[in-house]
Amino acid sequence: MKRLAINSVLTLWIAISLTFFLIRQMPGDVVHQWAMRVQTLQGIDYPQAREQVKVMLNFQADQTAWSQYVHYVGGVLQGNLGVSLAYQIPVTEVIAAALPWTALIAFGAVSLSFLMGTALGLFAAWKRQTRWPEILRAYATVSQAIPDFLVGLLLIAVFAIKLPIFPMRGAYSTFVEPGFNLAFIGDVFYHACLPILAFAVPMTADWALGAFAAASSVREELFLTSAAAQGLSVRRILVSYLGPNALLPLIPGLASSFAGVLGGVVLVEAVFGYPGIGLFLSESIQLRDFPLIQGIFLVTTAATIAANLVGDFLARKLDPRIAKEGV
Amino acid sequence: MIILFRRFLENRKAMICLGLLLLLILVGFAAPHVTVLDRTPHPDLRFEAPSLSHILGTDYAGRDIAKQILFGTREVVTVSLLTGLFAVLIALSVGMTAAYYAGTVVDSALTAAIDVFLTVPNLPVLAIAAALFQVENPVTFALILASWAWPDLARAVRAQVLSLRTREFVEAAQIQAMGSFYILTREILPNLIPFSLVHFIRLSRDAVAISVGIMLLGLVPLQVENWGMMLNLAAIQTGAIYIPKAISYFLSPLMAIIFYQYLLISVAQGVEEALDPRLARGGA
Repeated sequence: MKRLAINSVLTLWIAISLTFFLIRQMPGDVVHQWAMRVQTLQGIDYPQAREQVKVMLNFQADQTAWSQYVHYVGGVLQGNLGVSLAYQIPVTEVIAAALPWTALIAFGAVSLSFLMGTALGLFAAWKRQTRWPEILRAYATVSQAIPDFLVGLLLIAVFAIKLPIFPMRGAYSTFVEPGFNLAFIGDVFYHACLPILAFAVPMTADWALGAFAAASSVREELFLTSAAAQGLSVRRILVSYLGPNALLPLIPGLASSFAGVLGGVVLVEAVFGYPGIGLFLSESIQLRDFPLIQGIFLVTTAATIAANLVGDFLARKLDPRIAKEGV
Repeated sequence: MIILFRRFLENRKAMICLGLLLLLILVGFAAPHVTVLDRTPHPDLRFEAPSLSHILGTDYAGRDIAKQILFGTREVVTVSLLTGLFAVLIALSVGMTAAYYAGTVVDSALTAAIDVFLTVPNLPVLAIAAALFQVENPVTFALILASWAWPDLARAVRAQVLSLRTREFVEAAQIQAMGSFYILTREILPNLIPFSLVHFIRLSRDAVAISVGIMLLGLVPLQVENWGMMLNLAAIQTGAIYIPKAISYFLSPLMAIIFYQYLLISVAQGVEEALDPRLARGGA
C-alpha cells in the first residue's frame, strides 16, 4: 500500500513535469507563433499579443527555467491549469465541460462489456463440450486485431453511413433543448451508442476470456459437485454458485478497464467527433494549444491513478490474502 | 530449443500465418525495386470503383489503391518491427539490470520507473510526443513508440531472472566461480529469448495499432501510401468514407491493417503454444 501511494505521487509529479519539459523542447518560437495568431484573432498589435500569450502560457522568458517550473507547479497545485490559447477561456472550464461526456462513454463501455463478456464467458464454460469455447477464442483473436478506433470507423461506415440508423458525430442533436428533459436524455444515449460499442466490442472479448478461465477453474470445486448432488437446478447453480465465485476475482479489473478507456478516448472520440476530453486533447495537439494539452494530460493521468487505487482497494477487500501478503 | 522449434513447425495454422507474414514483408520490401508507384494525380480517374485495370479502384486523386497498399507495406512493417525491437532491447536491459542489482537502490529506482511508465496512459503521451517532435521518418517514430512500450516486458524479465537465479544450472555456474556478468549474459539471457520473442511480436502488433491511430489523427505525416495515412485521408480529410463508390479507399487500408495484425497475433500464439503445449489443448 505504501509503495502504491509513493508511486502514485511520483507518477502525478512526472505527469505534471513531462509536458512542461516536452513543450519547452519544441522546435521554433512558440510564443511568436501564438502571438501571430492572437494578433489576428483579437485585432491587437503584435507586442500586446505577445505579452498576452506569455501570460496565458505562463511562459516568463526572462526568468530561468527553474523559476518558471516552480511557478507552473505552484499554479497546478492551486488548481490553476492556465488559459486555453485556442478557446481563450480557463483550461479547467474546457475540461469541466468535456469530462461528463467522457465519463458517460467510459461507464457505458465498461458496464456493457462486463455484462456481455461475463455472460458469454460463463455460458461458454458451461457449454464446454460444444463449439462455444472455440467460437469465444476466435472472437478474442479477431478482436485483438481490430483496435477500438478501427471498430469505431467500421461502425460509422456500416451503421451511420450505409444503414443510417445512428448519428455519425457529436453528443446530441442541435434541435433538442439541452437540459433535464426526456427528449434530450434520449438523444444523448442515442448519440453515445456507437462510441460505447466501439470500446465495448473488443473489451467484451477480454471479459469473456477472463470469465471463461475463472469459471472453468471454479467448475472443478467440490461445492459445485455437492450442489449438483443436492439436485439443484442448472440455473440455480450458475446464478448462485458458479457465477459469483467465478466473477468476484474479476471485479477489480473493472477499474483498469475504465483506465483503458480513458487512454483510448483520444482516438475514439476524435473518430466520432464526440466532445469529451479525448477530442479536445487531439484538437489541442493539432492546434499546439499547450495549456490545454498539459491540463487534459494531467487530468487523464490523475484519473488513471485514481482508477488504479480503486482497483487495488477492491482487490484487497475481495481477497484478504493480498492484504496479508503486503504486496 | 529444438523441441520448441519442432512443436512450432507442427502447428499448421501458425506456420501458414508465418509464411504469409514473410511473404507480405518480402513483397512489400521488393515492390519498390520491381515496379514504380505513380504518385501523380489523375483528376479524371478520381474514386473509380474496382475494375480490371485498378483491382481496388482509385483514390481521391485517381491513383491506384492496390499499388499504394503494396508500397505502403514497407513503412508500416518497418515502424512496427523496429518498435518491437527497440522496446525488447530497452526491456531486457532495464529488467536484467534491475534483477542484477536486486535489493539495492538501482533496483528500487528501476522498478518505480516501470510502475510509472505502466500507469501514465501511453496513447496520449505518444500522440503528444510524436506531434511535438514533428516526426517525419519511420525510425524516429519507432523510437518514440518504443519509449513507452517496454515496461510490461521489463517487469516480466526482472521476475524471470530473479526466479532463474535459484535454479541448479546457475548455482553450478556460481560454484565454478564464473562472474555474475558472465552468468547473466551466457546462462540466463538464452532462457529469456523464447518469451522475449512472444513479446517482440505482440509489441510489434501494438505498434501497428498505435502508429495508425496517431496517423489517423493527422499528427505524423508519413508517405501517402502508408496504411495509416491512407486511412486518415479516406476517413477524415477527403471524405471517401461517405462516398459509396469510394468505399474501397477506406476499406483497403483498414483490411490491410487488420490482416497484418492478425498474422502477427497468430504467429505469437503459435510460439506461445510451442512454449506451453497446454495452451494448444484448450486451456484458456
